[in-house]
Amino acid sequence: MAWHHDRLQRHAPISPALLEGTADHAGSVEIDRTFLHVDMDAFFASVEIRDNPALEGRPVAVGGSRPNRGVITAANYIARRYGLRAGMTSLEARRRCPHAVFLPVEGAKYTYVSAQIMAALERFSPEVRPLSIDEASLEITGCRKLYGSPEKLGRSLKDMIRSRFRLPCTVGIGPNRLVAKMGANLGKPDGLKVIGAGEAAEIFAPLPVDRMIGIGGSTARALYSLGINTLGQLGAAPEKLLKSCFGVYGPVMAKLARGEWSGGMRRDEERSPVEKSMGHQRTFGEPLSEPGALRGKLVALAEMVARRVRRAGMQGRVLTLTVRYTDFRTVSHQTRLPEPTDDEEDIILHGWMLFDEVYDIGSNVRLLGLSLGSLRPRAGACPQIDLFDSHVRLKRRLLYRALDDLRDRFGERVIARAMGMRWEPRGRDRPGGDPLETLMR
Amino acid sequence: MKFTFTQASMIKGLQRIMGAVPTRMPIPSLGNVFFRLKDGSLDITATDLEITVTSKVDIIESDGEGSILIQAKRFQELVNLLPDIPLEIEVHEPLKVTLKSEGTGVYTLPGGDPIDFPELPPVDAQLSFTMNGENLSRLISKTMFAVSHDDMRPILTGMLMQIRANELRVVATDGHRLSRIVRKGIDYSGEPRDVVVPMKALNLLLRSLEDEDNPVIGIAETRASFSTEDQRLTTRLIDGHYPKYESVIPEDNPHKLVVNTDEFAAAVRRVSIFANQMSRQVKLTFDSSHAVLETEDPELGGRGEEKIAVSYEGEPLEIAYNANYLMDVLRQVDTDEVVFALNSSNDAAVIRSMVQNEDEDFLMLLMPIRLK
Repeated sequence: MAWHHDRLQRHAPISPALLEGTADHAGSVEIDRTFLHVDMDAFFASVEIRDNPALEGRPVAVGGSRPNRGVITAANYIARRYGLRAGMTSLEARRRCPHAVFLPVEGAKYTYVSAQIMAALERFSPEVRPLSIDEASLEITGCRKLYGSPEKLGRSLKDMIRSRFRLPCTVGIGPNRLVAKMGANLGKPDGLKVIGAGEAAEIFAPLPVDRMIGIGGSTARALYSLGINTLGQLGAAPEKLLKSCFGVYGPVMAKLARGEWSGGMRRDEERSPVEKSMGHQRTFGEPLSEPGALRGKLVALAEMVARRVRRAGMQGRVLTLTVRYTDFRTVSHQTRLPEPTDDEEDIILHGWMLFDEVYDIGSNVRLLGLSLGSLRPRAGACPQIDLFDSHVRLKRRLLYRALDDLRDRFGERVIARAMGMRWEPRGRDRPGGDPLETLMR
Repeated sequence: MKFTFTQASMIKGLQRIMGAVPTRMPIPSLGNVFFRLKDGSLDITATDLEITVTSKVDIIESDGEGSILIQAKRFQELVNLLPDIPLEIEVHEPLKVTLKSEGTGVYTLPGGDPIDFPELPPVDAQLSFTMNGENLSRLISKTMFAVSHDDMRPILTGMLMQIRANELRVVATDGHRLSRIVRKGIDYSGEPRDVVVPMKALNLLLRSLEDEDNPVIGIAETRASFSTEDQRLTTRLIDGHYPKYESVIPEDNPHKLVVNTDEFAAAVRRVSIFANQMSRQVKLTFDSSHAVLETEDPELGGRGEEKIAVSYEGEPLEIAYNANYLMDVLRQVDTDEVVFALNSSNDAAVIRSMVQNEDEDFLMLLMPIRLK
């Protein structure tokens, strides 16, 4: 599963570095391609309702099961009518909808269901990109003949998810990944929206600018101040103006608004080799100050970072730890590892060492982040053999291969170090971790 | 108290001890130099709590006795800039220091209470022996390149000293290369003892040790000291088990390569420009009279290849090393020609100078990079 990562490094929601990237339409021969975007509706909440039919018809929120602490990570559509949204504090959610059912977050369950859905999607297209725990992008260019129209394909995919998993989803179809995703956003909930090759600009035109993926609050405000309120206005705005206000990202936004560009949704494997770092961070619903718990969290982060670096076929050498305290004081420390690595054990041990250097004992921690930088492709680097424990490293490498295989098949947290799991409270107000961050876009 | 000294003698003393002043100061008083005037002689001391260095400073004349702390960095900066003339330090109550350079300048420095300076008990040596300074320097400098910088393996960040009857063995390894030098004819006949000394301590020692010195090496339970007539360095020992290095030294590697040390090093250096940035890999292939060195950098592009004359006895072999490690090793070789004993492309090479020094056995191991 591609978790949502790298908030540490990301400045623009869609990195300007992508401009000279491999955008989907950059192929040499222009053929009409078709993409399908599946987005599960209120995923965590829907899974919970499926597993407990008594919840049907009631407002349901996942997360925030303790009234005074934490945030909710998902809300079903009934709860949304009361204004509940993922990321809202538990307190606020209870104020708005006191009679909602607040459930503990069962991360492992959602990950498992997600992995099964992703596997099932592969029946529809050889090219499935999981984008987060609850959405995926499929290229269906070559599959149209099999199903007749894209709409029919979308319909049968929805039916499959409905009958096999008893879960609702929304499907968007479009000439590129971005338009397909916008289609899914516009079709929610439980919908199907097909946007034809020439229709995107017209359909987007009346929408306010902040409905566009990649345009966040502050960018939207800057656009409003220029008198650009709708995507139609944005698409028609002079390039010079946009460039002078937003740099390279300006013209990109105009293209987005016209439905012309979709470079943003790529996976790690497609990153260019000069990509600087890969990292994960975790915000705790409930601040932590227990060093054991924080070290445990670091273990889980290190596992995710190492896994991601391995998946991308890279090795990195500079490890950065970020600690944010509840008073928003944020400290980062770096260390250069003796050798480039993709081994989680190296990352854990050095991560702990950095933690001991940085951590202000007794202070409440709101966020922990780990990232591995100075990345280079592993392929170029043959392993230096060690005099004393080469066989240990070799064995570890085989172990990671087996672990990665398990995770590919059954989900990220299906197997992990006990130390990292011990601090994932079960059946209580479990900090949402990555699914939360993924949903809080 | 009051004393006069020359600028040159103070600089010499400061150079010996300043390396022990910590760069990050957990305890503020550690940023000071401890001056002690006693029986008409002056000692200056710096410590980072692990390593403590004391040096004697020659004085011209003195009046009174006592001790004081003086800010290390500022004092050294001042002394460095003064000409080589007699300087006078006077300590006034309470804790005020003036330094007068003959005839011209007067500088006032805040002094620190000597009570704040951590004074470690003297090393209560369980065993000790004396060694010639030149020999000790050689043992350290021939092995230090292999010391690990990985804080995750603290034991390897020090040098193993194996003290045996009539013999001292010094070993360093980072797991990728190893250097071991055995010195015979040591004036010691007691029980064998192994200690691991932090690299930083040996580095400081190497810097200030002179060939004609005859340091006394004293070993206690957790500390070691190196003392000469005018300086003393004490250090904490690194706790833990040093890996059993003897078992990884191959006894009878069958293939033998003899090559001119400087030519080999120069060729490695040239081709290494095109080595992969990450692995630094240089690949070697041998026939009976030549070695071919090859590097390739698929990332930035470019490759290097050189053919040099060698004498090789053994089966055809293809083996790769980290070019930096290989150059480090070649730099330590004392003779015009170097001998590599090789086994397979995944085994350690044993590297020796063509001729060993008298009373000495010096070898290095280098682990290859696994070829695809």
